[in-house]
Amino acid sequence: MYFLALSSSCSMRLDSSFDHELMSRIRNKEQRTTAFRWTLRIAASVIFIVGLVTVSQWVFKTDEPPVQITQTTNTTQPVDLEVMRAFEQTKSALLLISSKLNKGQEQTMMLSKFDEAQVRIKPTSEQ
Amino acid sequence: MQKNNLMSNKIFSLAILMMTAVLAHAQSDGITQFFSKYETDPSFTLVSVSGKMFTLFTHIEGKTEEEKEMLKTISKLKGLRFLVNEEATNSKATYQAAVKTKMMGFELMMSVQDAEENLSFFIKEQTGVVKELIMIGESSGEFFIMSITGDIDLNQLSKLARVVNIEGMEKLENLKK
Repeated sequence: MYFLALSSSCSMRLDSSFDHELMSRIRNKEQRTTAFRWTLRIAASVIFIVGLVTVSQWVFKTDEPPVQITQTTNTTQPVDLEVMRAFEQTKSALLLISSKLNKGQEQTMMLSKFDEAQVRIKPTSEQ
Repeated sequence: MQKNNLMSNKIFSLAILMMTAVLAHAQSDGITQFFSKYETDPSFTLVSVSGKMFTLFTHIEGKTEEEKEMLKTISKLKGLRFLVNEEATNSKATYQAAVKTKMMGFELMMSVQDAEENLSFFIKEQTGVVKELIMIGESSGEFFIMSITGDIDLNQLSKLARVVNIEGMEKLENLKK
């Protein structure tokens, strides 16, 4: 029985197209892998370029638009005027913030006074 | 082949890193985006004072007590931006949108809500020093948002109004001019 099976397996022959089929499958797989790699490379390059442009814009941009100062050759007065105007506006803005901060603080103080009153009332009511 | 793979992997990692940095920056700058969105809107007035101008302020001599206090506060500031809409059709909605804007690194310091107005203060601290203060407010059809940067002393800032002893909204009149 064993020898029969051995002789039949010895007589087994590969098809003539086997090599061709195997090689074509390997080539197809290689082609797909190469195509995928190229897509990956292109995608990475695109992301890299977009990132580089955005980062360079981010690095080289100024934080705020520069304030225009009119300079004339006659006198330095216009520069001073611009500075004074900017100072007045800054002053106004800071005073607005300041008054609003105080408003908030007043509300907080009122609450703390209410808390204090509660603390004082509690012991007397317990007695 | 292996060398090529290694190279493409490096490029891909670098690209991912860059994109992460860009995305993080985009998130942190939510309030800047808010400013950019409305600065071109004709119904909004934008006042922007740069750090350069703040250095020019140091040449001003304070004559009154008010001016001296003001210059003391200003000396540590680096920038100011103020966006105001005096006739906002829906100031409450704009206020809500501004308050909800993602501001990385900022925390809500104080919020005041009453029948007259809504106010929110956000601060960004670095090593215990307030580096940026954002005030967002809305009051009777008026919307404003203000950002100041630099080393901000909140006590010094709140002292200003006490020295001048005026109401904040009156000061808005000066800005209109």
